[in-house]
Amino acid sequence: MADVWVLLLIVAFFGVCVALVRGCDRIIGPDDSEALETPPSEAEAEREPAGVAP
Amino acid sequence: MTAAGWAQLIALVVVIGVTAPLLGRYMANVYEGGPSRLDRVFGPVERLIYRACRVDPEREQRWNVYALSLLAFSVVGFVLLYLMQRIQSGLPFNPTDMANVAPALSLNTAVSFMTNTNWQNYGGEATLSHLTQMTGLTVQQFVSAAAGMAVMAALIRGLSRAGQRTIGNFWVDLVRTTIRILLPVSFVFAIVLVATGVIQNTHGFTEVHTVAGATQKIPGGPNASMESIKQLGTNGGDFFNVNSAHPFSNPTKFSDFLELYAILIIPFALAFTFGRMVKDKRQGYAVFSIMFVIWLTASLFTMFLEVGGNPKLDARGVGVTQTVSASSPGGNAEGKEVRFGPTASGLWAASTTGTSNGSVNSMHDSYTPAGGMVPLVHMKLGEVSPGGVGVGLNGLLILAILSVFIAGLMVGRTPEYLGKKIQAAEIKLVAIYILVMPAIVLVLIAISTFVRSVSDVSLLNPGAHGFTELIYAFTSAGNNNGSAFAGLTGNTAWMNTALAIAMLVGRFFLIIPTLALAGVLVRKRRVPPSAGTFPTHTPLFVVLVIGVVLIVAALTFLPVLALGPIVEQLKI
Repeated sequence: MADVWVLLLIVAFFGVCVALVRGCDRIIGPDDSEALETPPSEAEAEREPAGVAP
Repeated sequence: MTAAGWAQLIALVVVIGVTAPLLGRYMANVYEGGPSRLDRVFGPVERLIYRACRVDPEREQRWNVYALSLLAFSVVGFVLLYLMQRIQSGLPFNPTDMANVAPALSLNTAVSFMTNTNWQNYGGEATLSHLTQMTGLTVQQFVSAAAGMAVMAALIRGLSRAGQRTIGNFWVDLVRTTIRILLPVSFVFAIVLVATGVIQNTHGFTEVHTVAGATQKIPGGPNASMESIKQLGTNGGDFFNVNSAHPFSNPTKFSDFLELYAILIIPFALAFTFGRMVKDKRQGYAVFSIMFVIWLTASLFTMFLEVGGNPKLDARGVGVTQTVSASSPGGNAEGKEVRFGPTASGLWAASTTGTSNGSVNSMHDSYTPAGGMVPLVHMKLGEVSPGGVGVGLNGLLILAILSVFIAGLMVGRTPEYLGKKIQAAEIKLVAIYILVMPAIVLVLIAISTFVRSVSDVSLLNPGAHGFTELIYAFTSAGNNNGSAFAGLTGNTAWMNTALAIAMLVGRFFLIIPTLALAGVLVRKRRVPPSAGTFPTHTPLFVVLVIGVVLIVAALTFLPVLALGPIVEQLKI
């Protein structure tokens, strides 16, 4: 019986791991195929400030 | 500190400084897959494995497929090791007639070795058969280390490639790490260890008669082969219960030096691997400097605190001498092997906790409160100095990304690291990585304080010292270190299960966001450096990252440390 509990614990944990993989995929967002294939524009290459100082 | 202590430290620094760049260059070539003269030796073996496992080595994976491959491989490893322990009495090569291992302990041990932690709630020579130790534990010591290094290679590819989707092939990285790095180096080192007196045989117990007329059982077994990968793979799990304090595992001061070198060499060398793979050696030097400064500081603190001992003992005139003499290595001698003394013990304690190795050559429970706190804090820094094989460099690179983010906020520009813009997705993944370990460690410590078996059975000491034992155990498990403070009985249902959960979360909940980070970075195009780019190879960056490492650890762990080793030190 204890072996079954151990197995369930491991299955549950790795199930959570798979959910975490999906969660991280959602954070990353889908592949932007166009962006991967086209070279960077000059505007993109020239970095913009993240914020404007008051 | 004695001249011998200084000599050991300086010799270690020199040998690592000379050999780490060479090994780092070799490992970079392994991960870049370039042609090598060793292809004729290793190539056929690798191709045979790929054919047998139906792996196409030319086919690369996206990050999520890479992560799922690693998870699947880990599940299979766990099941095999768990089953082997549960039925070991019926399996061959069991000359010491070991019984089957109980389920909770089997769970803890299988998780421990599958996650590269090597926390041991059992005495090896009194619990496990030779077969379990050789083909169960030792195999996991190879492949769990290789899996960590594979994740590191994937993260570096995420940083070094641009505008792509794939980060390598997990199976190829696993096989190449094992076949081209860990196996050959471990084989050579095992032979060197045998030459220093580490045992390697197939004996069971040998009964001998002592001078006093009693009988004693002397254990035997295939130890040197396990000892070499135990240190080189930053595993730490020993054949014997007292780990590297056992004379069959670490017989002389010279073997002690060699094993310390083995603990440190691959993690330090990986900094140079990183520099080569990102085509900017200066980045590797910067990462090496961060690792080295933290490791050296922790080592010197532990050594000096243990050499200093407890000043109140001399003052109270209780007849305890802590000065160096012909018969004593001086300092705080409790829990330490006379052949190592406080300096070699302190250096080992700092090195083993900075690398996620976890082996011990002295009992940390017997250190002075401040001396014992240094290894504890060293683990709480996230084990980045130099860290476990692969995972240590991962942690440091993630902290480096956090550092450039903070620096970017200070000057009001979009942060970037190695030409990759660091944006919202990356910082969310970094936040998950940084918060998971403290969360699981602190929550499980808190719950454990309410569990009756912890106070009644597990803790050896009451008060602040007992609480430190508990903090140490969960910090060690949550960081996949495996270092034991001693003084804690871990083989209870609660501790076996809770520590297993801490090890699982500490391993996989950090690896998954790391691979996701590699996945998002590999898509990004590189932006050319400009006047506003914060250089990441300068001493200023080294200082900034060290500061971030210390601040993150202090913000999360200072309160719990105040209730344990800090209050104990103040009470002296």
